Formats: sequence, C-alpha cells, structure tokens
Amino acid sequence: MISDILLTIITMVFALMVVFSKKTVVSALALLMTLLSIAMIYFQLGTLFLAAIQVLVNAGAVAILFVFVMMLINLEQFENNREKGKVKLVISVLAVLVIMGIFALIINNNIEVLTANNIPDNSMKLLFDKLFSVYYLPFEMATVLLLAALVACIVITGHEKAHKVELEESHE
Amino acid sequence: MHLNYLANIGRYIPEILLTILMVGLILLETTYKEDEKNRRYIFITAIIGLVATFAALLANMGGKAEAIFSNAIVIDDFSTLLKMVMVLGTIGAVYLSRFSRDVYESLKTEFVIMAIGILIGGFLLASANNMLTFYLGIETLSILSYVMASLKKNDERSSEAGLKYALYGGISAGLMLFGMSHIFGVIGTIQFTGIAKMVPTLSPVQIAILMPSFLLFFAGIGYKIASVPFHMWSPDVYEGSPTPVTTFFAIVPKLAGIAGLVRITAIFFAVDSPLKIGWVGLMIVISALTMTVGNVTAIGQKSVKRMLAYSSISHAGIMLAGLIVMNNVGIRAVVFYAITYVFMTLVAFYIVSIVQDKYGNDNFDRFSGLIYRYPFMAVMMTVVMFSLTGLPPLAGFVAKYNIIQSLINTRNYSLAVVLGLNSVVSAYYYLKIVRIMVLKPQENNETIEGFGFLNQMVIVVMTIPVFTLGIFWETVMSWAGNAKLFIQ
Repeated sequence: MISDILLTIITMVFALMVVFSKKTVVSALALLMTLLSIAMIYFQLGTLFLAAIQVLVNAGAVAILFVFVMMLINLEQFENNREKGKVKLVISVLAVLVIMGIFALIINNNIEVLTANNIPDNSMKLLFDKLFSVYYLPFEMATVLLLAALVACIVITGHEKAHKVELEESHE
Repeated sequence: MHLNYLANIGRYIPEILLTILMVGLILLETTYKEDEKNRRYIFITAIIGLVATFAALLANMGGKAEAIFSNAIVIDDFSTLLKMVMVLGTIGAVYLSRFSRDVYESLKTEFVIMAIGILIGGFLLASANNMLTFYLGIETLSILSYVMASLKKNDERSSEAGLKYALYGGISAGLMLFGMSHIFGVIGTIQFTGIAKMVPTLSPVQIAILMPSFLLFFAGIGYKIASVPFHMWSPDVYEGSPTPVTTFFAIVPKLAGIAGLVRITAIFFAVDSPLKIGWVGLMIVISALTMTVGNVTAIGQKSVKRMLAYSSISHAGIMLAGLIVMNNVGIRAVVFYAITYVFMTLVAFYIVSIVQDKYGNDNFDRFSGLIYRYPFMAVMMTVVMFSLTGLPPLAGFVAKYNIIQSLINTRNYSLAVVLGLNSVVSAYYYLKIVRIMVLKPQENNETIEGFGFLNQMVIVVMTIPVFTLGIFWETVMSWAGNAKLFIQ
C-alpha cells in the first residue's frame, strides 16, 4: 500500500515537472521518468507485458524521439518562450477536465478495472521466446539500425564551429 | 528449432566483423583526440577491418548454401559474391574520402563509420529471406544515406540533396511497408518462400489485391536502385553530395538493391501465375525506361559527375534487364556485370574527384588536354569510358554481351534491341569526354596535386581488372556461374 502511494507521488511529481520545468531537456527527461514510473505501476499490478511495452515503446522510443527532435532543432530559441502566454493555463484546465471525464465514464459504466487477479499473464514469456529465437536476428539488427540513426543524428547536429573555420580557411 | 537459432553463427562472421568494426570506430572516434595522426590510425583500422571482412567472405565462398537464424537470412554464393563486390566498393570510397577535399577534415571519420553502417544494411538486404530483414536492410541503408548526402553541411546543394533524399526515401519506405502489410494480410506470412508457395493457390480476388501491393513493394526497391519512376532524386543527390559519397552511392546501395530484387524475383515468381506475368511485364517496361531515360538525359549534362550519375541510372536498367531472364544464366550475367561495374565506376569517380578538388567544379572543359598533362590518367579514363560504353575487348563489353545473350536466349528480343541502341547512345557522352581529353588543347599547365604517385598507382591498379576481366573472363564467369541462388 505504501509503495502504491509512493509510486503515485513519484509519477505525479515527474508529471508536474514535465509541465513546469523551464528547460526543455529537463521536461523531456521528466517525461521519460513519468513513463517509467507508470511502467512501475503496471508492474505492481502484475501486468508484466504492459509494463514491458510501456518501457520499450513509450519510454524507450517516444521519449527518445523527443530528445532526437530537440537535438535536431535549435534548442536555445525555445527556452525563453516557455513562460509566455496563457496557453499553459488553458491546456491545464482542459487536461483536468479530460481526466475527470474519463474517471466519470469509468465510475458510471462499471468498466472492468485491471487487477492482478483477472489477467492471465504469460504473454511476456511468449513474446520474448519469439524475440530471442525466431526473430533474434531482426531484433539485433534493429539495434544496429538505432545505433546508425544515433550516429547520423550526431553527425547532422554536431561540430558546427569546426566546419565554419574550415570553410573560411578554404575560401582564403 | 528454437534451440539452434545460433547454431550457424559461423556463417555470419562477415556481418559480425563489420558491426564490431563500426562500434569500435565509434569508440575510437569518441575517445581519441581529433588530430591528423589519430585520424590516420582510425582510417587504417577501417581498411584492415574491411579487408578482414573481405577475407571472411572469401572463406564463406563455396560453402554449403543455407538459411540461418530461423530462415531470416540466406547465406549462398550469390549473396556472398555481391557482398564481396560491395566491400570492394566501400574500400575504394573510403580510400577516396581520405584524400578528397570534398569531405570536411573533421567529418572524415564519420564518413567511414557511416559507410560501414550502410554496408551492414547492404549485407542484410543482399541475403534477406523475409520481409522483416528486407525492410531492416533497406532502412539501415537509407537512414545513413540521407546524412551522408548532406555531409557538406555548409553547402546548399548538399543540404538540399540530403533533404530530397530523406523525403523521397521516407515516402518510398512508407509505400513499401504498405505493400508488405497487404501481402502479409492476404498471405499470412512474411517468409519469401512461404509467399512463393501460396502464390499459385490464390483466388482471383486475392490476386487483384496483391497486384498493387507488389507494385508498392517494388517502389521501395526501385527507389534504392534509382529505377525510372523513382529516379528523380538520384541526379540531384549524386551531384550535391561530396564526390566520395557519390562514389559510394553509385555502388553499395545500388548493388544491394539489385541483389534484393534478384532474390525476390527468383523466389516469388518461379512458377507461372498472373502475378508473374504482371511482374515480368513491369520489369521489362521499367528496365527499358530506366536505360533510355538515364542515357538520354546524360547527353546534355555539363558536369561529368552528373553525367556519371545519369549513366549509373542506365546501368541499373541494364542489370534489371538481366534479372528478367529469371534463370541461372541471367543471374550469372547480373553478378558479372556488378563485378565489372564496381571497378569502372571507381576509376571514373576517382579521376573526376581529383580534378574537381583542384578546380572546384567538374565540367567537361576541366578535362581538356588531360592527356598532355597526365597521359597515364587520361589513358585510364579512356579505357574506363570505352568499357562503360561496352567496347571489346574490355570488361564492359563482356558484361553487356552476357546480358544481351541471355535476353536473346529467352526470346526477349525487344529488350535486347533497346539495350543495344542504348549502348550506341551512351557512346556519345562517354566518348565526348575522351574527345575533350585528347583533342582539345590544355587550359593550363598547372599540376594537379591529387595525381600524386600513390594515387596514380591506385587508379592504375583499379583499371587492371577492367582489362583482364575483358580478356580472361572465364574464371570470374565460372565463379558467378556457381553463385546460384539458394531458395528455402
């Protein structure tokens, strides 16, 4: 019970950090932590498959994509703009309304809530049996692909100054 | 079956070597200080690694063909031979990048790393045996290519090339995935052989669904080898990219795409079905168009690099023609063509790159009177141009002759005629550069630093196969003839 509350608090704190932190990178990392702590909640509920997918897809791919995009666009020009406007307030209110609506739906319609008891979970074993046997090579090659994409991203973004110097030298 | 998924890892050593090489180079690059000495060590490491990969592939040659990793990958002599050709092309491009001034000094290591990454993708594509590995191969090949094209970051044309490549690539990869998902939806397997087994048993409705899906599937590969409806990106990308990158693009992704296409065609359409007729018809049209459009557009070009880019489109068309034959003779002709194509392309691009480094552009006029200044280089360029045209007794002639012969044997007369006519057209622009080199007076008498003793030696060594393959072609031909596809 205590761990449940603790996890909820951690998730909430990180979620709030996503919205209120001034630095974009901190926001992105907080988002990553939020997604990971949600995965922990899934794990506690006993839905191992959902937890694994949450880590793989949401935390692993989506959050990393955010970081990729931040590396590609020029980060500094966005940092000062975060405070301006009332957009944030409007969005916060809308978010609260949407969440309350979802809760209202769940309570009114008696949607069956996942608990540890009503999930037959050997899906993890099935998935990873396949992943590490039949689809072993594609799995490994996907990691090479990701590494390649990482290298590509760094090459495109990095080293700005060095090239400019070199370009000037070649013009002289 | 689940226990032995690593049993045949011994056949996969070349790819593993390449992956280790790539990761090792990344580690070296990040940990060592960036200066000329360290850059040389990294370069030497890369060359040693590539040569080791070549040796590993050579050791794989002649071995039993088998499908490994639960049928995801096929290791047979066909794929191994094409992989060896790709490694040769990469070594050539890496060496060219070493002294070319078209790649920023600070990005030379990255060029090598990315070239090896693309090579891994090419290997995967050349021996892919199901749609998943096929797609992974194409994607590894593409993502790095986009960045390689825009390696000259402060040059507008280079950035434009990268962006164009990325946009076209993204769209065609999307189309291909769409087609693949349709094929999977109808047939229920991603394994090429599984699909081939189902093809004759399909109902007309299913075939009606599959026809466009195969078309979409082809879009992905067609874009990689720059065949005609999807060739629009290629000249801009080839011209905008730094020359070593262009050299690399003209060889590795193209040959990998051809290898993938040969395997798909041979597996899917071994038996007669309406799909086969559609596919072969499509291939004939695309092959003829690719040859013609590439050649005709090459005529009007001012830049030699752009001319070579268009001519490489037409060479892809010729290789596609060999693929239509769909028997071992055709496959042998395609493999032989690929082997000769690498050497010819490398020599041509080396000389263009060196001239371009000196003058900042590579218009035809820059070559005028080259024979009075660098007679050896002019002769090598002439040899390669003759060979690209397809004149005896050079390698290009034997390669083209084989393809025409296999076409005539299978009664594809019209395509053989188109191929012959195209060779005549190509003679115009290939011989134009020879004429300018030999007959025009030289513009000036400056020395071109790039033509140092070592580079001249390298170029001569690379031209030797163009001669020898034209005369002693039986040996290589018999290797290529043994390189049969393994279908499982």
